[in-house]
Amino acid sequence: MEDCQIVDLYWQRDNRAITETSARYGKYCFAIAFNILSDIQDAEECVNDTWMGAWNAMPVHRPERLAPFLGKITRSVAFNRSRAKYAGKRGRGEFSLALDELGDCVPCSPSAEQCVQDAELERLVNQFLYTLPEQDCNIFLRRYWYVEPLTEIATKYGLKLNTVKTSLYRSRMKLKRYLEKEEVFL
Amino acid sequence: MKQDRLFHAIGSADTPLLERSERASHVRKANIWVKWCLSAAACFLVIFSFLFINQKNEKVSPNITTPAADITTPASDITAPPNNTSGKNWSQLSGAEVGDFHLLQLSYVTKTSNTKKSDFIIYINEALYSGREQNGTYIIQSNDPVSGNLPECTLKITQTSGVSTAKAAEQMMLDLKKAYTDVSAPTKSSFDNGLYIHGSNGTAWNAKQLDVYFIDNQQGGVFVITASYFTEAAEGHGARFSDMIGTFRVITASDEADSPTWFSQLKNTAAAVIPAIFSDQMAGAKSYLTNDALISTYGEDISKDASVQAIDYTVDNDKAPTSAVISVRHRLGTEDSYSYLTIELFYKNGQWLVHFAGVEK
Repeated sequence: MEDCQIVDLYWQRDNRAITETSARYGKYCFAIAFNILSDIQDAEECVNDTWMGAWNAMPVHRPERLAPFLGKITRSVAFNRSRAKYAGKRGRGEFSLALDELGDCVPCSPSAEQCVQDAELERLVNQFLYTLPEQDCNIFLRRYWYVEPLTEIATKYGLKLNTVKTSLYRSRMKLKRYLEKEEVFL
Repeated sequence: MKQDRLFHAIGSADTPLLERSERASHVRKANIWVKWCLSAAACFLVIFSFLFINQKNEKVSPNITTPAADITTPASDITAPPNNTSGKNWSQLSGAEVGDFHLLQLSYVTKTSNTKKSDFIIYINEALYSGREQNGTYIIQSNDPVSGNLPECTLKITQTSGVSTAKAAEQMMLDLKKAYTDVSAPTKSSFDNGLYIHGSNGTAWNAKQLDVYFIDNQQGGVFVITASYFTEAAEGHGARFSDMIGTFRVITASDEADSPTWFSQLKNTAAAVIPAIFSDQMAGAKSYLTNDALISTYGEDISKDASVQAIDYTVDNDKAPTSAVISVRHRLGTEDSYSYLTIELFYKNGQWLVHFAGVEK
């Protein structure tokens, strides 16, 4: 079943929407959830929450492509679940590592007043992604959007592990410089 | 947490970018990036194209004097130090091929095709060494020669026509046995069809040591590269010579004809930018940088410490490149592990411009 047909099912409030979504995107969403949570049971529950989120979001939304739409819900649900589970703790797995890496490119705030709003930060980060060479952007998203392990990214793109690490390093440095230039302090 | 906010912000990446990252993973496997690696190039891109004047069938005979014998060392299980030399010829490259290609043979000069000799490329850190031609031998030696009555520390390159690597090595082994107490039998080196011999006069701190490489000149002859040093200098000059030898490449006339303009330009840009980065003198290389170039390197002059062991060139398209990455494998001490200087470039209006340079272990 095509994406548009599945979306139609959601809009018709037809329960088959969940079945079809699960059949087509179950593995995809599970992979994202597992990368963040590093726990099979948690990831499965997270995927179920994703279907619930999709059910609540359609309508109003009518996404052209379901994969990124569902992926964003999964990512958000998994993030919140991880934060709740490891409240005050470091957490574990790729998610924890990816967050540590992102710490590299967080400009220090000279004062609390200069904190940028999340919406503005989203806009700037998105804008920044378009400044990266295609391969670097892809690698960056696989790591910090999909939270994929470095080895998996290297395999996916047929690159050496060191190439992936170097690409991420320079992208983080570029992001830091970009945010500083835009006077963004978190 | 700040990282959390950033993580959330990245989550709002545009759908086309996410889809592209999915697509690319499949396309990449099929055909996208063609990598050209000039593996094992060494320092500062000082490139020598050197036509030897040796006569055909000349005997292989590096300058060796007979030293006094010292404590002996067994040399039977000696193997050649690793040099990065695997790869394909330029003429074998094709835009339709997939994977890593090692571009071994490039040339900056033309030469007559009726000669039986080849040219070569070797990379030398000019901050530490200089090279000169003398009676058909190319000699590389330190800018600060060791003082006192110590064995010489040099790297010598000669070429002989009409002899195989096996025959040259066999003859060399016999010659060396007259001057050295221990001489290994020829063993395979990491060069294609290459052989290696080690000669030693023992383990005393000032005992002479010799590494000899025999490399097919691809025209029925052989290049002989001889690294001479003494025991105490093994981890200094000896290690640096080994890095340099790893950069050695044979160049034939057909390679020169096939080398595209953009690649020569890319190498020229590397030749200007790498020394500038290592010497922390970027002002002189400004014309090679984009206006917003990010140069994040050592922040100090390390040119006298750097020993480059390899330079890899990667481009996005071999027919009409728009971007390239130069990876410089190097180390600051001969006992250190290698670091990588990564330089990213765009190709616009017939010029390569650096927009990023950074160092990572």
